[in-house]
Amino acid sequence: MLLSHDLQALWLTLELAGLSTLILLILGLPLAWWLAHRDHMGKRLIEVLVALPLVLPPTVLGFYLLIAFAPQSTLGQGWLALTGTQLAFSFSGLVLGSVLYSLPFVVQPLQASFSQLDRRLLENAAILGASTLDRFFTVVIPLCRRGLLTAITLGFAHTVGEFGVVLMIGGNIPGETQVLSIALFDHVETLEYERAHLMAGGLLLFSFVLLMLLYTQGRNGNYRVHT
Amino acid sequence: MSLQVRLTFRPPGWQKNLLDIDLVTPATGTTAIFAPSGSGKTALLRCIAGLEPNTEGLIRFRKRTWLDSARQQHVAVNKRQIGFVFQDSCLFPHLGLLDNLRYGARRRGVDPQLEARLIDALDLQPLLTRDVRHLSGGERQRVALARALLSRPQLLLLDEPLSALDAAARYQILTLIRSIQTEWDLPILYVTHSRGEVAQIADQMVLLENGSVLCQDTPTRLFSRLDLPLANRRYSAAMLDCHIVRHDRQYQLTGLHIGNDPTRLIWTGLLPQTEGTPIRLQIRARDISISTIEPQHSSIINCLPAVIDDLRELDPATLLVRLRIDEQYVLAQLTRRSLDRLALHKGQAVFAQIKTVSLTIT
Repeated sequence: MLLSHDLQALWLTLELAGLSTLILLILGLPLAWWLAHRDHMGKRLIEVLVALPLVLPPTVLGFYLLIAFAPQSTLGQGWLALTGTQLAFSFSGLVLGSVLYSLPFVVQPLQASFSQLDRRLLENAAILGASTLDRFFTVVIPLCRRGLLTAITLGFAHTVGEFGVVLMIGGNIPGETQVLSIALFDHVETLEYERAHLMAGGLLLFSFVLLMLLYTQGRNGNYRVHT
Repeated sequence: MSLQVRLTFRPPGWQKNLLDIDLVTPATGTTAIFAPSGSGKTALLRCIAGLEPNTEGLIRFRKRTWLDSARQQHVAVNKRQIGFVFQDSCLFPHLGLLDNLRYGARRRGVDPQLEARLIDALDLQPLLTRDVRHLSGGERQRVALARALLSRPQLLLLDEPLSALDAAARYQILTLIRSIQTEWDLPILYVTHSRGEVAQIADQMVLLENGSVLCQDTPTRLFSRLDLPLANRRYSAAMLDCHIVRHDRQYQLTGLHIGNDPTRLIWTGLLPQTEGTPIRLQIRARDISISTIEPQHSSIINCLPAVIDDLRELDPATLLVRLRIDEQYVLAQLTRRSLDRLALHKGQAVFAQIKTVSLTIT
């Protein structure tokens, strides 16, 4: 049986991953669109910045975020003034860290599928009277479905699986910052292997099912644009 | 009521302008934009539609201003109510054929009667259940044309829309476009390099050269001019505006009057149209020969009195002769030797012989 604070960790993890994925989509969609349709030095710089979390040890990112979140820092102070709470070791801080950490996993698949999209289809849609938003929902989204699905899955799963960043900026506060991966580490530390097994097995199964769904979905719904 | 286009367009990364256009066409009838490839025909249509952000200048259609760079005015593509059929049509691969057809109509009001009519006229019924990704080039063009017309455009831009179709389908579709145009008073800009398509559909013609308007007139007048690049050794053909007066079923021929002159009859192979239908005949310069006296024993049926209007040397061996027949002109390609032998000169009255079998309308 999972104890209540394991369930709490599970719920917190899902909340964190869900919220982060939502924010990632809101930021990632326009950013990926911009990256797919521009070509200059500024674009390269942004691309590199977005890709950084792919190669950096999560603890490096976590370390800098910790410093940025500190109550003495500009960001930390601003956040304190705005919300009355501090950013470090808080759920909001975790969301912020997750968004940065998972950004490339959302932006890159979106960018790849946006740049594959035949521009003339969008031009045709515009000529036929569709506004920008209309074109986005009736042409871009259906044709980039696979990229979007990949982005959501990877963004979500990657946030569920993060450890280093959370450890640095979140600590281990049950109900506030203790996510599954940290709870698992906790169990191992305290030699509660039975509960560790349950948690690790559960995460393994979850990841497997998620990827399985993505791969089979992708196969059926792979719309290719003929030119 | 006109379409006024005064614009320059420099594609991103170019050093000079691709287009420098100053053009006013009546916002009615069909204006053919005729030019060799690479002269910016397609770019011009894209600029008018609003698809090229680098367009500078002024575009006014009827009473609306679509673009006025000086006043920072720019009407978005989706608000211009244009129909545009590209050279290789882009159907939406994620939508079924009917949803493709209705994409524009859904945003501007569906008209089930028009839809049924276009499906019938463009022979789309057998395609309705097919996957749009597996249609042939000609089939795609027919769908794209129906989709554009169903969106009830105020102006129709066609960029070589029939290049993927065979001659019979082309003729049929041009006839359909023509009848819809008259019904709706729908102005059309028609980019093509096919003389046959110009002959069949165009009221006006604009000749482009290196991104600028070289001249603009009726196709009949432009194709009979000797000073334009249209008059060359390989290509020259004039057009005669005629109308059908009678069909000779016994010999399978159709007789046409040139202009309004009832004394000048020209015979072609049997045409399907009814009597009274206006027809624009194309006559290739190499299919006309000249005689100084009326030939009595010739196999050529069409022998029309004409006056030599002008001459132009194409190369040391060949000349183009412009002949006036009634109020219209045709071109004849002759050797210098024939010219000297017959002592042909400007203002001379001659007979133009045109082989019936060479006359085409498509």
